[in-house]
Amino acid sequence: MTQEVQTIFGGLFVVLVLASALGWWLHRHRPSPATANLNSRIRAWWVMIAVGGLALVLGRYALFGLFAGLSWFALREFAASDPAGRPGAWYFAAVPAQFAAVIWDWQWVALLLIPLAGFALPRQRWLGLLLCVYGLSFVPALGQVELVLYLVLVVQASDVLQYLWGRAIGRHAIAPRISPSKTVEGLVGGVASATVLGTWLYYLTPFGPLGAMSLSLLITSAGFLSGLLLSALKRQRKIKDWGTVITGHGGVLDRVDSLCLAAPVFYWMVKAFWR
Amino acid sequence: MIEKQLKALALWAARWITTAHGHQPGKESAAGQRIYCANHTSHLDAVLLMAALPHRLRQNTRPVAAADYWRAGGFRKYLTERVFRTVLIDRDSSDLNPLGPAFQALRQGDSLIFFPEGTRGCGGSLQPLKPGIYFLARAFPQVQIVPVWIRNASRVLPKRAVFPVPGTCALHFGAPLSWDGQEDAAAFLSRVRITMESLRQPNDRPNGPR
Repeated sequence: MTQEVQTIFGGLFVVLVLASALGWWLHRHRPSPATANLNSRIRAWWVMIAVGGLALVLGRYALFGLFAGLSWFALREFAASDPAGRPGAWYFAAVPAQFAAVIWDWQWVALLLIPLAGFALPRQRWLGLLLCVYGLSFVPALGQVELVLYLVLVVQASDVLQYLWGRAIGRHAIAPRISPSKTVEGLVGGVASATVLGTWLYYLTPFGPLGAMSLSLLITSAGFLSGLLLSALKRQRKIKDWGTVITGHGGVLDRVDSLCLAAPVFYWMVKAFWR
Repeated sequence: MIEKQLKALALWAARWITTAHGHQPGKESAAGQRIYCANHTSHLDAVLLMAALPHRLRQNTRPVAAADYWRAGGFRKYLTERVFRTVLIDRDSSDLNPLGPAFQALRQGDSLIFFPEGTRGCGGSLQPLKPGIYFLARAFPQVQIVPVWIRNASRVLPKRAVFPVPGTCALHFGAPLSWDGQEDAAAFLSRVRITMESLRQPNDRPNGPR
């Protein structure tokens, strides 16, 4: 683990300690369901950051394992409410197949297997594979620990910051029928502050500050669209959350939803502009 | 001693396939003797329920199942009798009390997993409840009847399916109830039924078209 990565985890630790203290204080002075939810969200972040940090320390194969696992959880949640009904048992073989193809660098299989499966599958079922398996497999495919950390950190920070800005000053809902909690103020504030973070962390990427800034603007916007798309699917299926595995957040797919589109965008941008 | 490991393996596999986990409104659940009274849509139901229970409650909890179905075949018999220590009920028995083995188990102090519908449904609404649960509740008033709604199991392994498909199952435990001392069978069963249905989640969907 390099010096930079250690510093970032140190920073995350400080942020979590402060957030936990603040959450504890809020809940003590003004207890409400909202503060209780805030605290369970923060507790879940402790676990998620610990798991992610462990995978980063253990290296490349652990990252593949982690994201294959997340992809399995996400696909399972997606399929559980699929309006097309119960998939065949072979459906879930897509997860090991895709991740094996990425690990062993069978590029054509990794790139084309799932997109081409669209010819043989009902649309929603294909969409599940595209978002939960294909999209997420681009994260460990980045290969470098620093790039994975950058992508996940900026996109997840953008989610959290959008939530915070929205709670603080959000007035105008962007898509009230899809997601009442997403506001214009939250989006602008969240994307702007996550972009500042992404520019600040430019040394994790092969680019300069300006390049990192445009890159984070791009991935946070893709992340927002991704979240919106998955929220629309939830509304269509008349469910509130994808699952109940992560206390306070909902399902795994509720947590990784922004990565589903942001990861391929980031991957291709890095591939295209890294000289 | 391999039975213990097999049971642990089955529960572990069930958790990986279904995220089986319990939601308990009211955590008063002291470890008394209980009858878990659940809806039945899948062979997985009993395994999921055991997987969702805390270890100390799981130890002496035994599923109740149909003898004619589960005693057939070598491995199936081994699995039910030795691994899960299932209480087998003879559905077509001419015996006055076909629930004899269940009475025996409750007298020994075991807890039971009981499916009052008597057979697996398709995942839609509850089928009519059989009166067995009433006789058990009346004979053992100190045993808590815990209503449980198992969500989505019919999507993972419906009737007639051979392979389970991963999905998200959850178990919703209701507040315990017991026979009030004067109810007749119909009144008690309708009370149990209403409590079970109240645990049903709004987005619970039956197994759609395949």
